[in-house]
Amino acid sequence: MVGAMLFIIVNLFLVSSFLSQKTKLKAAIASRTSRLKSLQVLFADRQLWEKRQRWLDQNQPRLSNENGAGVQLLEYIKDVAKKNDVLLENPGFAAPEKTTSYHAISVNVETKSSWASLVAFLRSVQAPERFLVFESANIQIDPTDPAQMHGKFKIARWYAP
Amino acid sequence: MPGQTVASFETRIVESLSAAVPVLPPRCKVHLSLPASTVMFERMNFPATDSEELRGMTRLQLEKTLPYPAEEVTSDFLLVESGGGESVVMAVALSNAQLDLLCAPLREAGRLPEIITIQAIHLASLCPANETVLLIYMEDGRFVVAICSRGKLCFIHTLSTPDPARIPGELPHILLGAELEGVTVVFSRVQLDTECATIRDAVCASLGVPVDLFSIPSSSEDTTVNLFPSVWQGVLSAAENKARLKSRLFLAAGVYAVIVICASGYLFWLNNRLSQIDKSLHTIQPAVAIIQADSVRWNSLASALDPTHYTIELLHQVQKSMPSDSIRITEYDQAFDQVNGQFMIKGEAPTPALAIEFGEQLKGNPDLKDFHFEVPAPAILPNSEHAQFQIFGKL
Repeated sequence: MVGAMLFIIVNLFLVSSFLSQKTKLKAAIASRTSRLKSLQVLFADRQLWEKRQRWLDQNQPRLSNENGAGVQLLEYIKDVAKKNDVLLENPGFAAPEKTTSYHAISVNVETKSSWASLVAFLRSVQAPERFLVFESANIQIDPTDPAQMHGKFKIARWYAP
Repeated sequence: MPGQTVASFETRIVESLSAAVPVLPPRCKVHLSLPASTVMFERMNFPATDSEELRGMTRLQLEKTLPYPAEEVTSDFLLVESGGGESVVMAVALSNAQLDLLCAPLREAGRLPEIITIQAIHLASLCPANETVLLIYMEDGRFVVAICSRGKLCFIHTLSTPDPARIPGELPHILLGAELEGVTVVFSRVQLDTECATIRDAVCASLGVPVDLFSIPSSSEDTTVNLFPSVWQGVLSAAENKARLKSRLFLAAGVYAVIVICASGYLFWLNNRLSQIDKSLHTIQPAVAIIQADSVRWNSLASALDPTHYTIELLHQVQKSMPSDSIRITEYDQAFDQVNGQFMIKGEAPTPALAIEFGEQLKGNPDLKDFHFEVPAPAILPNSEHAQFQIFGKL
């Protein structure tokens, strides 16, 4: 009788530990399989990311002269504004900013123009290989002349870090 | 002698039952054939022919004649002849104590015989069915004289002398005794054991009938009489139950072992699978880490690289989402860095419903799917039905 009870208790313990072990292993397999699948999906795109990395390495500009870069950027903005009939006001340099992905050289400008000229200006400034970002932009109808648009922009070029 | 009750068997001669026990094949039934000297025979006449009645009468008669209590004796009977409402039987009896003593080696080894017969009855059954034969043979070191009629044992006498030369001299007295018991003593032949072939001529001269020599067969298959004691039935059943229980326990232990092995195997397989997945993860992880770093770099530059994040493109999408030309944008504000990006639109609509519809269209614009929009309730301008609205889009 004692032996039978002992046998039952030992078996209950064995069954319970088997079930808990099984549940633990299955849960671990499910989570790691899911992680493996997500990694495999990423891995499948490795050629795309390698290509993008190569493109960035080749095209992202490298900063050699911080002061010269700001002047260069402002000159470029002035040129584009002139070409698109946009009047630039209060141009100035913003403090450079460093992150893990880029080194930002920025300028602050205000504009006054028609809506059509502003659209043309905005379209001309940005393109992927130029690495130019409107870090902030505020466009309003000019309170003194409703036919004109007044814009305040912080434009940055993101150099390679 | 013990032997198998199957057709094929092997004959071995041993000194005693004790010596026979070790050579018994395992798991076979034991059939014990007793010599005549160990059993008491008594010829009885009864006025009945029914087998059960004859059994009861035999038992009653034996109780009267035997010096043991009925429960201490095992008995059976052999129907010799029957007719005209009368029967002649050969009662066979043996004390349980004697049987216990005789079978002690078998019993101690747990090999109790399941059938206990008598050698003389078996030899009688081998005689021709239409003749009366006198059998003289040696058994357990003694000579036995038996009269068999139509294959049935009618009379039996065990001589105390081991000297075959004295048999011819004893025969007339033995046959006289048989005749007095009502047994026919006219024989068609005599069958003489090869052990006492030396007295063949003397017997032939004395009885004047042909004398044949025979060898006692090794097997005994006649089970007309079975002296298996009823008190042993319990022991045998217990032994059978024990054996059955043992085999079931073995089976259960086998099944249990299989289950334990399967369960352990399953856990081992799961563990192995987990190890394989871990191995694959370790293999792929370094390459994926590089891809992830590339992806982070690319996404952090999205404001500069992805035309859908350009100011002009956002303004274009805002304009495309306008449900009516009557909506007027008064202010556009945006702020973008490597992690966050958001824009705000402030404007006026002829009705609040139109302002809300504008917000909904911005939310549904697939080209602005990266943005999450907040559209607060528009404010109604004083002295006018126009609604002033502000909409926020965040990456």
